[in-house]
Amino acid sequence: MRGALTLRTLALAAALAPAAGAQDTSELEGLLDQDVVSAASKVPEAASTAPAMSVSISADEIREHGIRTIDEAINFLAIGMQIEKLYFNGEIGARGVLLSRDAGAHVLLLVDGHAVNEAWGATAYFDRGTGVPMEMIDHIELIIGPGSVLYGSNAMLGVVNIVTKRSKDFSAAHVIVESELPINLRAAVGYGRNFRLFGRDGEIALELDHFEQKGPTIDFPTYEAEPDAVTGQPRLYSPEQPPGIWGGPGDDTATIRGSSGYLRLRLDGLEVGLRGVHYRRAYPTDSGNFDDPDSFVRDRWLSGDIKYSATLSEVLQGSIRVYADHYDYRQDWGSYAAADCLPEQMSGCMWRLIGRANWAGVEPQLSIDWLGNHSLVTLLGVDGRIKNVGSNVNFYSYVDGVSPGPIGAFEKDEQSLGAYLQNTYWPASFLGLNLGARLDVDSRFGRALSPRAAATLLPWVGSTLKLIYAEAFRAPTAWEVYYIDPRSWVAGGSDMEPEGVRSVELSLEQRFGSQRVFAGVFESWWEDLVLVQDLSEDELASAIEREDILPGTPTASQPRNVSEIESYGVNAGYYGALASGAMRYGVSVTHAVTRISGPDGSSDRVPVAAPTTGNARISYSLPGFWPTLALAGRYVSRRPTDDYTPELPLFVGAQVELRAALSGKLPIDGLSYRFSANYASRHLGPYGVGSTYPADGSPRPLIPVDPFRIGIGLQYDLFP
Amino acid sequence: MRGRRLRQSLGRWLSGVGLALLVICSSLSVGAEDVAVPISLQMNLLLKVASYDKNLKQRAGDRVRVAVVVRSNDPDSGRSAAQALKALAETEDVEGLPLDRISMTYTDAAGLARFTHEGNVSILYVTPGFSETEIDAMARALDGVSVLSAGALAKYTPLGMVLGFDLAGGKPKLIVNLGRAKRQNVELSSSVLKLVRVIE
Repeated sequence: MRGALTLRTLALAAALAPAAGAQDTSELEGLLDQDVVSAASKVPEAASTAPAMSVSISADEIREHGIRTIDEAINFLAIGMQIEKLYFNGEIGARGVLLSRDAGAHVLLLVDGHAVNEAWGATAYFDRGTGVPMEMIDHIELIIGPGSVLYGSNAMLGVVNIVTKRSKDFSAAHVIVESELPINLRAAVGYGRNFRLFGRDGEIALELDHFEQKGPTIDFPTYEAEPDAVTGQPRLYSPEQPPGIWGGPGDDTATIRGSSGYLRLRLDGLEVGLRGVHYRRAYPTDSGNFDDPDSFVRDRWLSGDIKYSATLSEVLQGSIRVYADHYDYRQDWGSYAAADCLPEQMSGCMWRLIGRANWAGVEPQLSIDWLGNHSLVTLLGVDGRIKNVGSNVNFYSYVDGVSPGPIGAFEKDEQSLGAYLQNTYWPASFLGLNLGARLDVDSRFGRALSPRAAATLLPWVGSTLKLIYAEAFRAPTAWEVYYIDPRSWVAGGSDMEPEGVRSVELSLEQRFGSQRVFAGVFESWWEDLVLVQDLSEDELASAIEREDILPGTPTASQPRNVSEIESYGVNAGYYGALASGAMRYGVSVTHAVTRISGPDGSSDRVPVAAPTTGNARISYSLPGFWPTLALAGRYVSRRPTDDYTPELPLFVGAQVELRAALSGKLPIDGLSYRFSANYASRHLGPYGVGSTYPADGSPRPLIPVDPFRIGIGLQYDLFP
Repeated sequence: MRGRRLRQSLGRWLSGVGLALLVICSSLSVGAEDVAVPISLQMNLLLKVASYDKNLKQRAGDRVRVAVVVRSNDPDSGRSAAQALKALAETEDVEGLPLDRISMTYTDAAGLARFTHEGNVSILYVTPGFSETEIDAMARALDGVSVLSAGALAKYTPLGMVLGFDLAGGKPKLIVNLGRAKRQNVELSSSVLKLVRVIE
């Protein structure tokens, strides 16, 4: 047995080692393995010298590891970022900070440089709702740390830039079918080609996809819940359970339906991007009725972006970008409880929230290459935007289906202007400096300044030392500023300020041939974070006097900038390739110590955010028609649940998730396949579920995690 | 009412911007050339590939001469050439041979071939700004001339450059035109060719 093992080991070593007499190409492999990113400073540059911690995930890695969504790509293949699954929705965090239920508002999501976070609630999804077909993605750039210096609001935890494929890498017609058996099915068609028009080079790439998921059925523990606060009687959660009992089999819990399309057109210096998304999903057990098929959340996006870039002289390059977006949101949330509805709706109601935003802008940008050799470059730009945001809430009675009228309705016209300046200077071949700042002026919140200073030192061959200071902000959402409910809610109003973060980090990267090791330390300080606060008796009286709140209202709440976070930690990674790039591997770990404090000054852990996260992966591409084998794993340490309080410190244990994948070509020309299997060691996640707390005072049950899933996919490329 | 006013205002505003965009586009002859891989990285790759060329030392003699081919009055070409020359200045030698870097303003293909041959140029780097016809003419003129020719744009390689640079998956890729390599006496080992995309 030992002899067989030794023989196998020798055979593997022989396969990986360069053949006798072959040249050592490890240095060339190392150069070819460098990530090139453009989101950190809006110009293509090596990630190692970019003025931010930058990671790139390639289309090859996405395919080889059976990755189906952005959150999977980040969790298995990136460093520093963590995405927790709330049912099948991803909540994104980074470096020990994750602000649950923020709808992705603390990370700026870009698709080919176009900001996705919408103008009403700053929503951006990193799951099935991202709305960019995966086959079109060339690579995903992650800029970790504050990044408002060039982009403005939302880039507090970082920037995720999805870069789509050029037509040369997407040429042909494509038909894709894939499934995670037996719960979902995705079908897509795409097309890409180059062309000549008016003597100029052009290219087009587009893909449309549709996704349906029904299931799995999740068995929630049943418990006796607190009685209805209005009637004092046990409330009905589901027709399938007696009154007062929450839980049971949830067969409508994981229902998702989504369609998206993306088109990218280039003609010489002109680029056009069009994106449409329709994303509807169940959200039935967060509160309200249990497993109610009529409760759902729906988002729709329609975005257009036109950019023209030109070289004006050897010193000047310019571009102008015009964009327009539409977004609307609908949430239907049913409850049989009188306590959740208007006073006259004793048999329950359907609560419906509608939100919408339309915005359009223009962004001229100028780059001045003062010395003509890229060693001293100034980038300046202005992003002017007009916005229209609106929202309303209706309570439709379960008895007659009628709402007495909208509550908290608002419609606002807003304007914003962001101006940015960035100077990149390489005074010597071993030293680079990047200084920049952006000033945002917005009719919703006033102004915010986001500076960044970065120094890059190349002290010896293959090494990069970076020191970075950066600030970023998140504008208060329209909901936080304008929404009013005279029975319970006071608008944040003009007192709302942007949330802010400052960060400093130091990192060292060393390359040796095709191997790369990275280590860094970071610290960040967050201030003016928005929390919903109960009004004091005096504040409530004054709100009633101002007629913001109806007389006799017992309690009311208001969003306020009252919270702070301090976080510090380390991250490290090792990446490499062997056998002429056929074998690739990487491992990363991030550990952070994070404390959040409230208005009373007390500090504690951040719910859901894991102190330690990490991942490891390896893939091996067998020659010819043999498949690529890939294995990836991620680790998330023990972390507080979202019901965590200092008085009730609830935690969920560490999670280990494994993903094995097999991909390759089939004997039919143009036909390829992917097969994957996913296993989660812990079957519970860090979110409490249940409409109200159990009557016996015990904690809410934790959200079940899908423990094992097999995925298959086929792609057929025609007319290459 | 206010919504209609906003839509009208938005329509006027976007129309104005669109008109301005059209004027700008039509007033400029061409848009910016799409150099996907940063020039400094291209130079690192170029010199590294050159070091694997089995005929480099025989071709170069005692010095490796790299000529950066510039198209006059083309701002993209001029910018890229300046960046390339700066990046080359940061390298002292290739395979132990000292490195000379020169700029060559393109006039015609025959002149380029003569310059390459008479100037003992080992590596030619062609900047953006050249038409397909010009690249094709360069390739024909360089037929039989011992030189590693490389183009800043990926599209130059199938047109006749030996080596090209592309970006896919956020990583640089090399493209080698093997037919041109043979005709220009460039010989790369199989271990290098494993790492590149080969076109015939």
